Amino acid sequence: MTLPETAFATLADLLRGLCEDPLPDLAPDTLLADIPGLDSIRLLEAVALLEEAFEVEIDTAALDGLRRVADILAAVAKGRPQG
Amino acid sequence: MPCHLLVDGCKVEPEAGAEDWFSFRLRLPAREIRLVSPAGRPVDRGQSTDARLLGLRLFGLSWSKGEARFDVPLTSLGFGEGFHDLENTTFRWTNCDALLGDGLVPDRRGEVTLRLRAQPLPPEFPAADGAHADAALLARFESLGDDCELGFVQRHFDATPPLGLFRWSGSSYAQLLAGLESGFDGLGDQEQTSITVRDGEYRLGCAYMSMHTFHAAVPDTLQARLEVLRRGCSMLRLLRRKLLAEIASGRRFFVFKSADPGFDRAAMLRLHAALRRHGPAPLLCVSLAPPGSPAGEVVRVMPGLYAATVDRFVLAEGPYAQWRQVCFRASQLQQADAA
Repeated sequence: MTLPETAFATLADLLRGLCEDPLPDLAPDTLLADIPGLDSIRLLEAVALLEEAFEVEIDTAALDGLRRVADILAAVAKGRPQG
Repeated sequence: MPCHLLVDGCKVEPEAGAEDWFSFRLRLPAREIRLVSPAGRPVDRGQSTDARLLGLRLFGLSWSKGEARFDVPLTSLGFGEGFHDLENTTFRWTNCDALLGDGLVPDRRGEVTLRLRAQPLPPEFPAADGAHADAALLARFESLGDDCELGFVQRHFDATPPLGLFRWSGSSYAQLLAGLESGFDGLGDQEQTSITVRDGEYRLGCAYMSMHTFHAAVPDTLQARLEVLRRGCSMLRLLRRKLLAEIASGRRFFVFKSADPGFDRAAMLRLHAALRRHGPAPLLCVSLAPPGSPAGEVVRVMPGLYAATVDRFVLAEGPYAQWRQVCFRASQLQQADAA
């Protein structure tokens, strides 16, 4: 799998673990606001855990603009290797 | 003008052009480009159930530099903060304050032209009275703790509180000062973080704050505690990085409020000095007005440091007009200082 595919699968697993409600089928253009149980704090947990999984540091300026699943994946793809 | 840009906080008006076309000249790279406009809610007109805050109806967005032109499709996933979903595959609304983020700005340097094909809110939907301005104003502020009163104020004015370290945390002056003076050293280390149960919810604690997790402690097992602690510490490290980056960028206006009578000018100066270790972000200190003194006033303690008073702190029922007034006045003072 490519990095985006791997990141997508990892993110989906993380969200399943964090959200207490059953998840809909996720796609890159799924709105984060449409994911049941995904509040802001769980979103941040997911991003932080995704950073660790891929050993990157995302540009934190992107955090306030996350709106879709693809935004998270793009932020991770552009992340710097962890120092 | 029906819209303007804020490029790194500086206002850029559109040049004269054909109807529905707005052209802006600006220089790239820029840290932040926002598209700002009046806005209103159709539901307020009584002819629609649409309660969204609508600003500009955007039909097209393109950049040019010399002969080169870059069109941004409206289907781009770069349309995030401040943009509503695509409608009829032909347009999408902004709210009052939309971010032109990375995916919408070309990787070019120097003078460029941004052209928008857009229509302002139709006249049959009168702009909400100052709603756009209030939301845009309040969205720039970020709490540095005490409690989450600022978040209630921001939500009252339809501004989304930033995802910040102190959005879900309580902290005292001493804790905040220690954090800023040390660069929040050790924040997110599991060895330096406690996890407790309060009101059925796991909470994290450390030298700098106590923080909600919104994870129910039911059932409260050792395994569950360790998992919430692990996740929470990862998030704390991310939020520490974000806070320090925001201070360094200067784009946020940080707020610390305190009802402690000992929170005086010297304490404010010390807090500001600690903040300045990390960057130029301005600081607004809000305290209670002494009896008989007017509330809602702001004074410049020094450039970048402002002190304001309100007549009471009441979580969720705060004196919203006073908060808006002090944030507005502090912004004016800070912009004058920056100029």
